Amino acid sequence: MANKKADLLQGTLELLVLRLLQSGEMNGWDIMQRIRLVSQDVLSVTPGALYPALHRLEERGLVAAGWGASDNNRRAKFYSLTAAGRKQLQSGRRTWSRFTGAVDALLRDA
Amino acid sequence: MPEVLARLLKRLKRAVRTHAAERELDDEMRFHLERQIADFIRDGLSPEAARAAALRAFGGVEQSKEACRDARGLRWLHELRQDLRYALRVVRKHAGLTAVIVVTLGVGIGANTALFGVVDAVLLKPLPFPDAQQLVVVKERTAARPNRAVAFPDFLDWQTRQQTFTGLSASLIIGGVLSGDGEAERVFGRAVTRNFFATLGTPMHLGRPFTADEDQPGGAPAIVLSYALWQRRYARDAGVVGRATNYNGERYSIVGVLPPTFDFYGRANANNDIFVPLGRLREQSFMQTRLDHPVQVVGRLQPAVSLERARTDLAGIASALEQEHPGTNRGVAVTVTPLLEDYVGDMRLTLTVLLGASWLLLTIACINVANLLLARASTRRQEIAVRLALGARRGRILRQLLTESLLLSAIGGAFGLFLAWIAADSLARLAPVALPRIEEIALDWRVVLFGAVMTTITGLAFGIVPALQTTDVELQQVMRSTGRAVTGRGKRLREVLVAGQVALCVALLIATGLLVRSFQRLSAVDPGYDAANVVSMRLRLPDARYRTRAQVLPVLDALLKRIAALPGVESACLTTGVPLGRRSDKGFAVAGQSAEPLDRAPLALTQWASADCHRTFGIGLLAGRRFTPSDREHSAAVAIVDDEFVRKYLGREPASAVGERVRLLDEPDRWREIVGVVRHVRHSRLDEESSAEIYIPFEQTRTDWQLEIGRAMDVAVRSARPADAIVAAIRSEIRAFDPELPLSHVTTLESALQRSMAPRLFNAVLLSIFGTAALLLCVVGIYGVVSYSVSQRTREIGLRMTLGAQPAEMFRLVMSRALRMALAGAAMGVAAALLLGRVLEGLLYGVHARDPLTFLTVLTLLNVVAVVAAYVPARRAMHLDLVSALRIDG
Repeated sequence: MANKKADLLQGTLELLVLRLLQSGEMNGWDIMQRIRLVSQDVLSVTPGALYPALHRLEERGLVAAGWGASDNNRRAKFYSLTAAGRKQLQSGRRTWSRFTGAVDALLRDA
Repeated sequence: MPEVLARLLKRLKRAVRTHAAERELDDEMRFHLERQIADFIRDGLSPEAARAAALRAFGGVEQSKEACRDARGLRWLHELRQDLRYALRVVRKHAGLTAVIVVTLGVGIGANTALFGVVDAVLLKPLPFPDAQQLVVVKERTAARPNRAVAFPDFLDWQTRQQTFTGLSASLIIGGVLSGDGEAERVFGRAVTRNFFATLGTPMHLGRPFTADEDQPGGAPAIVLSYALWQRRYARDAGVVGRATNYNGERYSIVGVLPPTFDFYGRANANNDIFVPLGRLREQSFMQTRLDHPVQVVGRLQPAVSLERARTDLAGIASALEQEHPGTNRGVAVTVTPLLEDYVGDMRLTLTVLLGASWLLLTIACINVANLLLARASTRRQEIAVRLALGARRGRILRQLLTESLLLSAIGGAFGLFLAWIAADSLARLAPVALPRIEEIALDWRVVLFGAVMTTITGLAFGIVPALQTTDVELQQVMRSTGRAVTGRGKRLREVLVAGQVALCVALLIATGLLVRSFQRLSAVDPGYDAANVVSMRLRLPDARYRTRAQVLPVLDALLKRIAALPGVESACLTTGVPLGRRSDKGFAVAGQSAEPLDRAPLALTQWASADCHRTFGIGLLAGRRFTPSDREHSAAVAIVDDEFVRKYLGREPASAVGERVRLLDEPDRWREIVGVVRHVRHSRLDEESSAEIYIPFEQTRTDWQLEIGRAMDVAVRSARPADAIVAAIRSEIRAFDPELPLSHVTTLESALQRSMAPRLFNAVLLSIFGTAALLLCVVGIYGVVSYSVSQRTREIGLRMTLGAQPAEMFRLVMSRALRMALAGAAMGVAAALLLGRVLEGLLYGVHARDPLTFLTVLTLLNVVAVVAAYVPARRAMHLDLVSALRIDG
């Protein structure tokens, strides 16, 4: 199991968070669960990495934060995408596919 | 850009609300943990086990929070809050120490800030003209007279030939009487060229400046009023422009009113009431010759023209004029000085010295505080060592200690600002005679900013050494010496600091001593007259009603008789210049000596006076006789000279000078016999260069001058009655005679004398305050160090005494250490004072900068003080209770 887990590349976590927030506002816990779920446990994020990343995004104005009720009816901090975040997500996606495309090509044909 | 701004704003808002931010961070983390715990419980774990597992899975809640703070750039703020809270606790816990430090710093910073306020008002604030730094004063300079006003024809040549000025203007001081549209009022002002206001850059508040037609002989009389005069005499009536007023008996139409900010050589200076065109005087003889120097010249440099270029420009013209007019202009050079420089004069030196003194005081205060903190540092090292051992970074602890000292300096600075605020107020009230522009003093943002900067520098200065000292610990050593503070290097450092403090104190005290002695010397100077019981005032006979000599001379005569007959009047006189008042210098020739050409002839202070003048001023007669009522217009021409004149120009004893003959160069054919020799009078200031004096009976004044001179005579009265009473009596006598005769320059001779010494008194008083404060701080410093070292060496001293040392020996041991410190400091201080002496020289009078008496007095004083400060702790060493001394242990 351990060798199947992949460490996240630098900056990738932020891209993932932006992508997840595209479908609506979420709190930190939900984001963590969602990453685990969607990647089928391949990608795992610790709170020690996730929360600073969220605060960094908020500081840069890419996400906005507010307090709301969670699904179990507790007060939780919810993050949502801002217009700047949406733009950042698009350009991040482009960069990502260029990058992975390039790596793929190299792995295939080099 | 707005995005950056928004982010900044957000960060700022959050910085203000860190408390809230911290709570949110807590909440967010807690929510996450609770979800995790709930999950684990659902998986079947017990609540306790679930909690432990959740914490494990989270992996360091505090580290995460720290990383979040870092992400937001909040970490420094968080640490700052920690440091501040800690510092506040320390400051509160040591309330006594804090109070001492705050007062010490408050005095230092307060003195500095108040003095900066003065410097700012006098030297730094620009004069109230646009681009005031472009304004310069141009004067003429000869070897004999380095600083003289300008001959009008020379000015005209400069004006047409110069290439570096946007404008050169001339003015001369005038005075007279306004009447016809209200009470007769004595006014002073200037006759100015029509470009005067444009050169200064002053727009008119109302109306317009003078036209070319008005600025020439025979032009329509026009007058410009100051704002203050307009307010006081015309109640700010805007309709005043275009109306007429009577000035010196002639109808002038008011063409303009100046703005309230207008200030040419000080609002305290009265010569700002009225302005008339200078051109109307052009045909007068004193305006035609290059030998008279009546006008003051102010110019505005072209933008981007340096002072140097303007000097070269005018120097070229001056040397051309030397070629063209060798008879009058040979050796006449030109000086160009910034207007502000000319305005504040030698106050720059005074203020520099005082500011320097306040810096010394602040440094002494800093050393004191550093010493106090060092003393505490040695007891705190253990705490610090423990924290270092537990993994704290040294930088972090340094920062915390510096936060502490900055907090102390901030409190001290606030206190200092309060002191400065009080001081500025009293300075403004006490110093106007001594300092030009002092009324501008204000604790505005510049002064407060200066105080804040000084406070920060101070906090770092006294904090850095103790902080380094405290954190530089050999862990093992400190931990091993359980409970006992470590001394050693710390003590050494403290002694060096105190020696340095003593050095600064000695230098400051020597400077103080020199200035105080200068003032004493000056007060002891015999002015040559007896200032007690003399009042004087200037009389002005309005031209309108006093048109001819026949109208003026009998009136003066009658008035003088009536004043002399007032009860309590010992004697009264009329003169053209009372001591410390105006003066007029004339060239003269001595019979039997080859006459110098007019421009090189010696000058003597010349007074036209009535018979009793020498008796009224108490000027002693050395030989011959005084003037008598029989020295009349057509009697034999006579003069009285002073002993200075006899010594300088006749080269003989006063008694044998009687019978010699002199004449004024302005009176070509009138030789006067010297009938008396009187004592020399220091006419302008007590510390002035001596200039010889000639007295002439008023009635023998050149006929064509009598009217001009007679309309503005000074009246002086010697009387034992209180000044107020005698002035009132004279006033009512004059009123009764002619209700419209304006009086001005009412003063007692004594207060005029005090005013003339005010600048020196100001220096001496201010430096004395600084010196006393410095001395007190030094006492505290020496006492602190000695007493601390005694308490540190209790065990050693106890041991020695147990082994047979005598108490007196211990006393000597402590005293000698203290004295060594003081002497080392004093030696450095003397060296510093010798070096600084050259700066002070310009402020001294009658005392050499290396005056041995002053040096000796200060050294003695300091040693006495050191002995007194060390005495108490030294006695403590002597009377040590041996049992408890040896028991002290950790």
